[in-house]
Amino acid sequence: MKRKYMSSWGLAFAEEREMKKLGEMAARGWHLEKFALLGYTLVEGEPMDVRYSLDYRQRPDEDYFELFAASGWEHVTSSGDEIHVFKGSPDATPLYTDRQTTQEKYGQVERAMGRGALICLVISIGLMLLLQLNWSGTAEAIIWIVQTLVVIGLVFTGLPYLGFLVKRKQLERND
Amino acid sequence: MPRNDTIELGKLTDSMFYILLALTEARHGYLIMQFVEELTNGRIKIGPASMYTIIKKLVNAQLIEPIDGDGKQKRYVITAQGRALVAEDLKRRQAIVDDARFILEEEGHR
Repeated sequence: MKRKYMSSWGLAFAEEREMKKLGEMAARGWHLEKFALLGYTLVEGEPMDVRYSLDYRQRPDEDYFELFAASGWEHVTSSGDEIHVFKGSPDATPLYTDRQTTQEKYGQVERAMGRGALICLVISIGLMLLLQLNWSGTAEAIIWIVQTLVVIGLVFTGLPYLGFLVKRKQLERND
Repeated sequence: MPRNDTIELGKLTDSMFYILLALTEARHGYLIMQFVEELTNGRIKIGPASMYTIIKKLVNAQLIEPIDGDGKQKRYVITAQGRALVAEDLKRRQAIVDDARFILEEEGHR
């Protein structure tokens, strides 16, 4: 079976656009199989008229997937037992049908990302202070490597945090 | 962070109101959806993610409770507290309808 990679700009920024694109790809016979590094893996198959939609939910129980399946939303794949993608027919009732629960969808990931970003920021500042001290060449190199990793972590939590924050503000403005 | 926890304010969203009505009899999630859709002739549909979120919330607020059953999916039923809140919210909704009727029917007589 042929596979294809589709890149992602990050769900905090491009969820609607990318879910729509996945639907267009399915219509051309390329179906979402799973998440890949900074993107999605698609697998070749019969063209289908489907819609993709995602939900954030930490460690959901069995009832969760059964409820979605009964409403016409088939579970496709998940990431980290937290991000779940479903596919359904174009006339299926959307996953979210009211404003309050839609806001909560983004509120919970916003808080999780915010916590992650804050932790990275604190560690990063701590390491910068540590670097002011006198270290041997190897010790300093190791601290710099750790610092680089922490900054990468900060980017991958801080940017989504800002993305979700903006999204929540937009939803609230529509109230 | 500003959080508008509607349950604490005693004001229910339309979805919550209908879910509580559906649970005057024990039902599981999907049956609640069908019940609401039939009751409102398709005017109100509740998606699975909204449904799941609201059920968890209503359980936490002790407005509904899970009941033991042999079925695969968990069923829920309204509590006394839930009924009290529905009755209170019904009054609020009735007052809105009364206000609107009063204005619009007055207008018709002029």
